Amino acid sequence: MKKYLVFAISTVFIFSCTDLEEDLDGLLEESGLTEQEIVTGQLDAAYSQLRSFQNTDFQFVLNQHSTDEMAGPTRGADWDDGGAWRALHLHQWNSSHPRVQGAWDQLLGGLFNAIDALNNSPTAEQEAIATFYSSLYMFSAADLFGQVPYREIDASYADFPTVLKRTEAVELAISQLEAVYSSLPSTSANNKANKYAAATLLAKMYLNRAVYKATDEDGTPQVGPFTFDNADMQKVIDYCDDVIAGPFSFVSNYFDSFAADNTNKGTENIFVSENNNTTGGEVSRYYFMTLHYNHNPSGWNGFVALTDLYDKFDAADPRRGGDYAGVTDVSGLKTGFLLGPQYNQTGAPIEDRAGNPLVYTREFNLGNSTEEKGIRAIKYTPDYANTTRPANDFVIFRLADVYLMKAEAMARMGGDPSGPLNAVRAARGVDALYTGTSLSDISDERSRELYWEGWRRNDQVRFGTLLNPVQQKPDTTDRTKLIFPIPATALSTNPNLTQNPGY
Amino acid sequence: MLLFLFLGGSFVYAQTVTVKGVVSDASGPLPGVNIVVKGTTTGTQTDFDGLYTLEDIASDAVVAYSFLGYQTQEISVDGRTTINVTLVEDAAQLAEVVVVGYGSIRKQDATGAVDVVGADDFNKGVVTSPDQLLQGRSAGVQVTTSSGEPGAGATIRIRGSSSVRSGNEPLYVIDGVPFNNSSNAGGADTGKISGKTSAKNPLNFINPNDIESISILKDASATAIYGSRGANGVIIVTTKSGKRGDGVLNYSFTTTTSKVANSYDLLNAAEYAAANPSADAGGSVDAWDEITRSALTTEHNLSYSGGSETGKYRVSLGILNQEGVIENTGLDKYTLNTNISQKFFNDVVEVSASLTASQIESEATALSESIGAEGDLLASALKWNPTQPFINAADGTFVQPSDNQRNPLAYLAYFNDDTKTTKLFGNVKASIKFTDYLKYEFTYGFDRTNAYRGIAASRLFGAQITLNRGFAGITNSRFNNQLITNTLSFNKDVSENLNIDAVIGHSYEDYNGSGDNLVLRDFAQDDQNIYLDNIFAASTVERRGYSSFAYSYDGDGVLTVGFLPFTLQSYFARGIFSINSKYILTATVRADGSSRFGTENRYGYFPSFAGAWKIHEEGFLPEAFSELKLRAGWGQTGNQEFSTEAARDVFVTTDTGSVTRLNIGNPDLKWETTTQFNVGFDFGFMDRKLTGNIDYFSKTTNDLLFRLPVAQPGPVGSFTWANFDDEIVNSGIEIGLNYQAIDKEDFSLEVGGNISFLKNEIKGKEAFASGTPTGSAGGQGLSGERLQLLYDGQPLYAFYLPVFEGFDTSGTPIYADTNGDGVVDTNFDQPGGQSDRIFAGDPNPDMNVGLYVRGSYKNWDFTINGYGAYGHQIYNNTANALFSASALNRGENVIKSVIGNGEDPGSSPIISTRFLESGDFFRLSNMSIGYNFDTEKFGKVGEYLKGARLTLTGQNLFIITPYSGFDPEVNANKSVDGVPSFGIEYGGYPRSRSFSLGLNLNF
Repeated sequence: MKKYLVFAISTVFIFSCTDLEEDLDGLLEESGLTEQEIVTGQLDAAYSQLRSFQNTDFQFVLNQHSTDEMAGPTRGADWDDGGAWRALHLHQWNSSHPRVQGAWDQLLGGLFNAIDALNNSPTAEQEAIATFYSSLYMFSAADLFGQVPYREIDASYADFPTVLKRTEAVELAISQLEAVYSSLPSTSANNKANKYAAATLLAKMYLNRAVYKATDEDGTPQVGPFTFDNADMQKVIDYCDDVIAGPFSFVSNYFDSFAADNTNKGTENIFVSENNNTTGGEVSRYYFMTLHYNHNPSGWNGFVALTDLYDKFDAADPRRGGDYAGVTDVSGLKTGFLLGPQYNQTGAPIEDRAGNPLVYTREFNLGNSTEEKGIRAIKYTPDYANTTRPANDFVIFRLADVYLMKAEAMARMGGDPSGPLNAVRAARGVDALYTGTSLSDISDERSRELYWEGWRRNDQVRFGTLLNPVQQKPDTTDRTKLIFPIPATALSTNPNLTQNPGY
Repeated sequence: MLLFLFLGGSFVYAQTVTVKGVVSDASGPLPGVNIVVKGTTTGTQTDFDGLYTLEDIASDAVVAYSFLGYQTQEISVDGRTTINVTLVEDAAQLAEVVVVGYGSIRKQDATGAVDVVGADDFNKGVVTSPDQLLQGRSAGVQVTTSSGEPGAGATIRIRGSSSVRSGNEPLYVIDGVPFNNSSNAGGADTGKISGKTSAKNPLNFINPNDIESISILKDASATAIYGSRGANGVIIVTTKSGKRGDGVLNYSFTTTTSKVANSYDLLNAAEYAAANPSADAGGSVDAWDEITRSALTTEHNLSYSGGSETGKYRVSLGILNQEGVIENTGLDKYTLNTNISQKFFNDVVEVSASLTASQIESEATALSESIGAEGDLLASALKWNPTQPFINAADGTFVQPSDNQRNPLAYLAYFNDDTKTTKLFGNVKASIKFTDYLKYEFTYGFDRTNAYRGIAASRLFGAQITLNRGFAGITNSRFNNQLITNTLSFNKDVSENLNIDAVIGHSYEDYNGSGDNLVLRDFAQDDQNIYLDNIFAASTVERRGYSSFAYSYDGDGVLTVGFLPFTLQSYFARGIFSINSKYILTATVRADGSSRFGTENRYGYFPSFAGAWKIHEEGFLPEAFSELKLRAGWGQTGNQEFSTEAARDVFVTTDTGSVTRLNIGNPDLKWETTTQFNVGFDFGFMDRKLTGNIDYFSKTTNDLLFRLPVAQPGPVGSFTWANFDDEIVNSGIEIGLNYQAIDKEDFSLEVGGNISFLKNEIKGKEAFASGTPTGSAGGQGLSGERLQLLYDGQPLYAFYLPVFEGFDTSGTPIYADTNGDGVVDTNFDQPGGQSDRIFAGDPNPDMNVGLYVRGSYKNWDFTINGYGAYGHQIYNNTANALFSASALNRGENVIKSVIGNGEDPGSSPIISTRFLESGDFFRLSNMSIGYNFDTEKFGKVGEYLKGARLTLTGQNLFIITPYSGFDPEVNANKSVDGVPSFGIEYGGYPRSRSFSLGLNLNF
């Protein structure tokens, strides 16, 4: 009897010393990786995260719908989406706005990948590349949100990130990027972090530095006009000159920069978020978001261009669009602004869903528009080889932007910007317009050149026009709307954050 | 022999006798019968042959013969030396043995809230998975099937939801082996082709005909033996085993015809043309008719069982061919269940084995939970312009108007979704009886599953991402779960007044899984069937190989980790102390170590205590009371259903071959603790003609496991898991009643039912103080909208919506200015903010009821089962997305009530209380009439045929509800970031009404 008991009890305990550690098949734990694997992985992730700039659910729409270039009208049951698009246009967003939340997570997620790479013994070049990414994400987040949570290199993930104020974040980004500037590769491969991209970013940060400095003690941004430091403007010019001296040249057709094969054609693209037909990307959204259902490709019938934008162009300006080989012959679709009746490739009218000819109108009503209302715009042309996973690379920095920044810096220093300004206009085949130094002309030229590319909010803040009434936004809005609120979930996950004034 | 008689005789004169004899029942000798001489500690048990000997007992003694499941007999010796006893089965008592986990007890000895649903109580008709057997059958158990699809998953809640994550399902234990719900073919997300299709019910592999009984452990004192998995209750399924006696061959056959029970009152072609003349295409079609059908289901079951004194066996084979009421859907299920047991060495050693092998092949169509503006098959059919022909007259091709109006017939022709799941589930047990009160048992259990899911869409299908390309997704998942349990059990009358029934044990469980996934695009062929058979036909291939079964086909780089391997090691002990058969105390403790927990919290401890007082044994109760028992219990249980990687730093490989961080670990992470108090009465009146129970419970979950978005900067889309100070409180009252109105030889009538009241509340101290939105709305113009908010002081899944007040004269909807700031702002904001949204209701029923009537007259018998739920709201997302003036205006079909509803076609039907409806319902779930033939009258045939029975069953015969959609009992999965939703109806598979004819033969 006793021996049975001993047997039974020992059997019970045979299995007791079994280890509870379980291997996570298919996933890797920290211990299983070399530091180099983590560095290359996180650098790869930091670059992949640039796709958030392509996506029309994140920072792009914050930077465009709040401006004089774009709006998302509600069309009956379509495009209500909880009022999200109306709120962006009317500057009525709150801290629960889904796009605000999305942009925050995406930008700071990219920042995380970059810092995580720096945590794991990168080589000098890898460190420079990681620093370029972290600077880009910090600048973008500071510009939108007015503050940036930050994890010091090697900070514990258990600790709450510290919070940098707007100027602190940008100063840090400038100093870190300048420290590694010389280690960046001088390559013309625009799908990699390179010295020219860094120079463009530094020029952007110096150009906007005065804007960030003009912040009240409580964090409320000032409307301007801003006091631009000549030394900063000289930095802008110097960095722009570095890029202009580089291997980039103006394209002959303005829309080549955005075409399906812009990897080859896009000679003025300095830095892109790369796409191909296999892994996709988000560029298809740029035609889906605006095209009516009955175009080819069938769109989502959403966003429109404001007349404030459309009316800035001369009729002869090729940037207003026209036929494009490989597109118009396939589907009848033209580049640039679409207004009036639409036709397919045979010249037959495209119809709306009820069977009437589809005729886009200048006017639209933000809260209640029928399906044909509003001007549409096409910069990224459909890749008919694969309309859902187009190969068009998404442009983050391009040469025309650099010329225009240089022109602006020269003007703000009291100089004559006509050289770089007219260089751009000449490249587009429009008249050399400028001899003076009118800043509003430079603002307009930036809009004509860079419309719907995600820079307009940044520009309008700097030129002091963001809060003004535009089509379907009758009121001047409060200066607290110059930055977006900190998302509600971010506040609840990091007690170091405080909400921006006015939210 | 003579000597025996002589000796026996000699003892008579000495006033003591030696008594021997055989104890048997109707089918033969009974081994293991307890025999006690009343008033003494002298006793014995019968051997294999039912033989017993009692030596030297008083010749006037009274001997009690007792055996579980039989009526105890007391017999005066009166000087006899041979007493042969035939015990009679106690049907009432037999049914009331409760399997409680690592043992079983008589229900009358139970101290916790436990319920047994036996085969007789099960719902009748076509039942694909065991949870459907329980629908409405037990108080406090709410079973909500997610749709009417054959094999659809179900939401089962015992005493409410106590977690805010997924992981509110009870633990299933099948023949002693805990079952992992994740070992199943997952749902699939085909994005803009057909959306996210639902996962199948993981319990489909069990043939309901093989189930003997289901025990439901509700309170913590009963579930604490399952420790960190006991918080949501435990459902113990016991499969049928053989009975001693000659072999019995049973064959049954059922044929069922089903039709859609309710459909929408859509405009027909003429009405549509009148309402929307500009969209009149001249034809006349009925899309709903085209996609639905009258479905035929056949079921065959063959079983063979029998047993001897030492061994029992049962083998059964089941075949179910179930057609769905929507075209291209159905399920073929083949099950084999075997239970054998054999005793050796004078019953000292018993070996048993149980195995279920099943193969389920299900065919699904494009029905989704996540449809956006594109719509799925159902939405495409509901909104199809009834004047628009399906086929182009010119060339016979499908009319495919646009990505947002897909042709339902093209969906049927060009889309396949096949799932094949093979499962082997079983166990081998060996026990050694050291003495008649001490037994050791070893169990090895296993669950081996292979699941295949293949989805294909033809390059002819007019969706933007399939047209001219084609798509196929193939996923293979493999699961291999194993368990080893050792228990030592003790059951002895340690003194005259005290019986101790105790068990201690150890178990080690290992859950493992892996899988791979191919995404194929760009096919040259048109026939999508080729895509799945010939993966080389695709010119674009993506491979993925994660231990992850929640995958997304078109989400770029977003990896949702589903099931990952984990191990669980546990020690447990339970003691039941019965004092004077009046007072019963139960104490339980389990220590659970899980590889899911953080390194700082490897083991959790889960105690419980409970007591019962059999008041009727005291003798002071009036005659009318045949039973009155007070039960009270307290206990703590846990919940460890969260992602396996949650506590750790985890990286994942990307499609470019590099690695990125997926998760920042939390080494302090631990289980969620639910503390439950229960008090109840079991009662019986008038010789147990009226029996019932009433229970009150209160359960509080703390250390709430929840994930918040990681504090940025952090991995994108990543969450950190932590235990929060928030609480979820469920409290309620449950009443069960049974009345045996008539109980005669050839006439019986029994009525009964259950009713439960439940209250649920979030106490948001930390994570939910500012609210967590969930319940995503779907449909055109509803992207990003959340219908529900988890918020302090509210019930789980409370609806948080703008208040609709009608239309103004121009047809513009009016919404209430609920915060009184003079501005109507229907956008989402947290409570107290600028927006005008209120908590407008919740989907948790205040009251659930179940009713039944059963009876028999001569050879006829009948059963009626019904159930209902009251006091909750359902969000009609289907109506919100599809049925508005705006939808009609854009050329879609709508229900008739939209015409003339005063709505401006240019206005947008945003989410609001306009589409929030009462979910009250009562459903007559099944009614069955049976006739038992007198087979003796069949002459020669009757010699072989021992029984024959014919049944006619109707399922879902009617429903009484104010709800305007298909059915109020729905639950589309509209979770947001892993936070589940509840009570949202959106395009679910419609329920059917069925009639079955069944024949059952016993040989």
